[in-house]
Amino acid sequence: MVSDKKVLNVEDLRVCFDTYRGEVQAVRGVSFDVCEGEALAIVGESGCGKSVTAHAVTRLLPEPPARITGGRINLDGTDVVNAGKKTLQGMRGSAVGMIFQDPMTSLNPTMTVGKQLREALLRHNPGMGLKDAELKAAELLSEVRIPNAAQRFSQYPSQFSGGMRQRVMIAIAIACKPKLLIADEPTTALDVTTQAQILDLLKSIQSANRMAIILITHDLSVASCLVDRVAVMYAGQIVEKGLAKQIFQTAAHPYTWGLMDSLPRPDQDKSRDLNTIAGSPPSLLSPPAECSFAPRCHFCMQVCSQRQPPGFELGPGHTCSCWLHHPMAADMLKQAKEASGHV
Amino acid sequence: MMHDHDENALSPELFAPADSIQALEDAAQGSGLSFWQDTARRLRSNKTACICMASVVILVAGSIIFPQISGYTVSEQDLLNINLGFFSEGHLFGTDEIGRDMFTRVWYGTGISLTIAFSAVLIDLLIGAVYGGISGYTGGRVDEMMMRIVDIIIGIPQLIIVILLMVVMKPGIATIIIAYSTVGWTGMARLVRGQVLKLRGSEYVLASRLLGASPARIIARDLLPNTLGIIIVELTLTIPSAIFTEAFLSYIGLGVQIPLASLGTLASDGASGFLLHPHLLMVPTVFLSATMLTFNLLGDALRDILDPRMRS
Amino acid sequence: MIKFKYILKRFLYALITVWVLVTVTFFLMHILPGDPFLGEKKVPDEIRQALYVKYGLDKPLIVQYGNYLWNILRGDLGDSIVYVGQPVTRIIAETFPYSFDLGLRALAFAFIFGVSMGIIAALKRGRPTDKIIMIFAALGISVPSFILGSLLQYYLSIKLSGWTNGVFGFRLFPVSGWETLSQKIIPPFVLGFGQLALISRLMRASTLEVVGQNYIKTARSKGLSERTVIMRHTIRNAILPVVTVMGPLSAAILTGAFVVENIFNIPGMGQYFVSSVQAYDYPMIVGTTLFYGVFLVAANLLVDILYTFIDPTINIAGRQTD
Repeated sequence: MVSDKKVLNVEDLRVCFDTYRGEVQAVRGVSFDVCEGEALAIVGESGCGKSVTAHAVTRLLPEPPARITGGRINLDGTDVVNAGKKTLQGMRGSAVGMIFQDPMTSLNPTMTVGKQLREALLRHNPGMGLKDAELKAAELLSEVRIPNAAQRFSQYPSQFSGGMRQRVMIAIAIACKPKLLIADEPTTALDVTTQAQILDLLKSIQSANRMAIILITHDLSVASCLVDRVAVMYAGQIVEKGLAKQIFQTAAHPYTWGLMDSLPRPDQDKSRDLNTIAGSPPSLLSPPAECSFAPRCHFCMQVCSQRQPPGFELGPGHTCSCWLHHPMAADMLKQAKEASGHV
Repeated sequence: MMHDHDENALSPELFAPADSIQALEDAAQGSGLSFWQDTARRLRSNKTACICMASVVILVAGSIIFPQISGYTVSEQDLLNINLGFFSEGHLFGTDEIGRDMFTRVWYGTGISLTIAFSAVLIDLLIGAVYGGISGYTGGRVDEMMMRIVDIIIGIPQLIIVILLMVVMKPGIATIIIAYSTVGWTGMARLVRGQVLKLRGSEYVLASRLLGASPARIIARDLLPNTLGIIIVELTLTIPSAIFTEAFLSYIGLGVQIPLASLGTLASDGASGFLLHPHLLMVPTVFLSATMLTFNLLGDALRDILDPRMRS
Repeated sequence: MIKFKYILKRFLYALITVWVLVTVTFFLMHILPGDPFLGEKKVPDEIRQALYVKYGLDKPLIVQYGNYLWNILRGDLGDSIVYVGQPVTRIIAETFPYSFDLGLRALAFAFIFGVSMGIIAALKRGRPTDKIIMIFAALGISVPSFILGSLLQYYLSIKLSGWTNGVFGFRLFPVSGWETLSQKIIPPFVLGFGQLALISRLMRASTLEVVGQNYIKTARSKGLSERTVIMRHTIRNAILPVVTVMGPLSAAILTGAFVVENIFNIPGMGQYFVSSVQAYDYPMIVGTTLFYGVFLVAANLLVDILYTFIDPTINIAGRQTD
């Protein structure tokens, strides 16, 4: 199902924002790949840079004030960082599709849903006639499980619920059968039932079209439903990445442990408080030179507050940026695993 | 398996536990500034806003001080020295066609125009705030009815009513202020009503959330400053319209009457004699435009600064 | 169906507004202290009495009000006191077309250039073009039309045209009048300039707001060219607030016309309004006020109706929120 051919290759990506307070380094050296047909989740709390990374891949960041200051992005053969406007416009919608977080504001309120869909189709299918495009659009609406597609075609977004608008977004994003779909927190603004429906829809679309997906989310449980691989981001860097199984069963970074612990579980002892990770992420105006998680880490060592940890390879495809995995920290690692319960 | 370029520098002691879980550094996280501190900081860094505020101070101070120290009065005529131009002896801005000193007159006129504008705007605020406040607070059908009345008043062309009122009342500073306020309060009423509705909504939301902080504190800390900000912006932007109305009225003869002078009367006097003595129009024009420009730009800058979206 | 109900509602509002205006005008006129006839000359008592009877000023207020309303409905606004014998309606009919011509040109000028400049300024935000346009606009809202009019008249019609007359043998811009094409350039410009400034500021703000919206990002993510995004998505949404403001804007242009007609000697209604105000010619004042008022209420109504055609969501949502 998952081939070896890479659809997206991101290497050492760095993105800055110029604000009235100074330069904010939102992404500080992020590297990952996505293969054809594969689903990758990028997980992290608000402000960790996952959304910025996703937007950088399609260069949809507002380019003042954002700036890509380093790294390479190769999307299906295109060098995104250095690409010109025309190349980028050709790539968007046909090689890569994107859906965003807030479906309520993601559609043009003064244009019918059908026209917005038709627009996406006609953009990359110059030979297609209007009638054909409309038929195809209606088909797409059915594919995303919107009932009464023909009727819905001429309605305005205000006549759709949040969940349905998100489906329309998905329809627009996959209209020209892109190789990669980037979903930036697609379910955050929706209720739990709708969340499940959307995720289910994404899953079926993915397998039907052999499409790669990058799913951005702050919710680990959302990630677990759908994906093959997971990357955990914190303070603009990837702190751990690997196969879903590796992350969920043998997580190696204290932050990942914290994320997993903070998921409320039905079998938990209800009298105890919910687990949280105390403190907040560092300011990216002057990012720390040491491990960014150190101030909040229960297992912080001296070296952690002095230098950045490199990526340690723990197994095939599983890397973790934490000093605990340095050979000299073997004892500390053992203690940490026992103390946290992630053995 | 690891690629540590500085392997020698890593000594085993480094892998001992840190002394304590390092401080949960928060305070220096960049926020923690109160609304007013943040506003003040933004204000200082916005060049336009600073220039405008300095300009307001100059205009107000000048209009009070200069007419006192210039050595002439507003209506003092000197028929031997009529129509002098700029930098004439004894008259920095020259004189008009009956020898009155333009320097004195223009600063005095600025004062009158500003007085009219400030008063009109403040009365608008009072009436509008009370009306809008009551409407928003009471809610329901009363609110709907009150707002419908506002809609109708807004539907009637305001300048025409002002002109009519000036025909009915004798033109003068007080009557101009009254005439303007009679129809000018509607904008403020709508604004205040909108804010009151928002406040009411938040109160209920807060109460239902049962958070520790009392609703009053949150209203005072977040919502009230926001409301004040919006009101200040509206006031600042209404001042130019009041000045303009006064100038317009003066031009058609319904404005401030002699022996007083305002920027409007000076400009309209100057406009008729323009062909022969341009400075008579130039001087009040510069002051009038500068005043209106100042408040417009200031209002814009304040609006940008107080825009909640810019605060994230 | 909802659209129809909405239009009906606005129409009703318009009628009520007109009625309020008519009533307010009537009562204001009758609060006036003094007497229109004592103004200038010494009028003998019997003649004054006759005049009172003629103008109906001897009857009780309510009756006068009733007559007044009835007359208005019949289209009779009385005769001017200053222009003796001339029915107000005739004066209006002869002079309004000029004002309308002037106003329409000014409006079109303000709208077309204002919208364009606003869009350009927004798209080139922060760059020199934006700053220049915004300075231009700031001046536009700070210089009253009578000043601008006088200035332009002096520099373009007198100085510049005097020069072209001397060198080329013709005046580039006439000083006044309203017949030839070259006479119709400066006055609408002066009249519309302030509104142009307003429109461009509003359009700029609106465009900036729209450009930051998520659906613009969606449009880009489809791979649409910037031009398509701007034309099809940005402008269509950004122009909505500007259209809403066109009603009040027409009012501003209409009242601004008083002054411009005066300076450039255009035989429009504005001049008559101003002079009737200064002479306390009540029937004229009332008549022209009513005419202006009704005209503007109608213009507002027209804009409201137009808006429902541009913004399709009105039909669904029904009422506009304020």
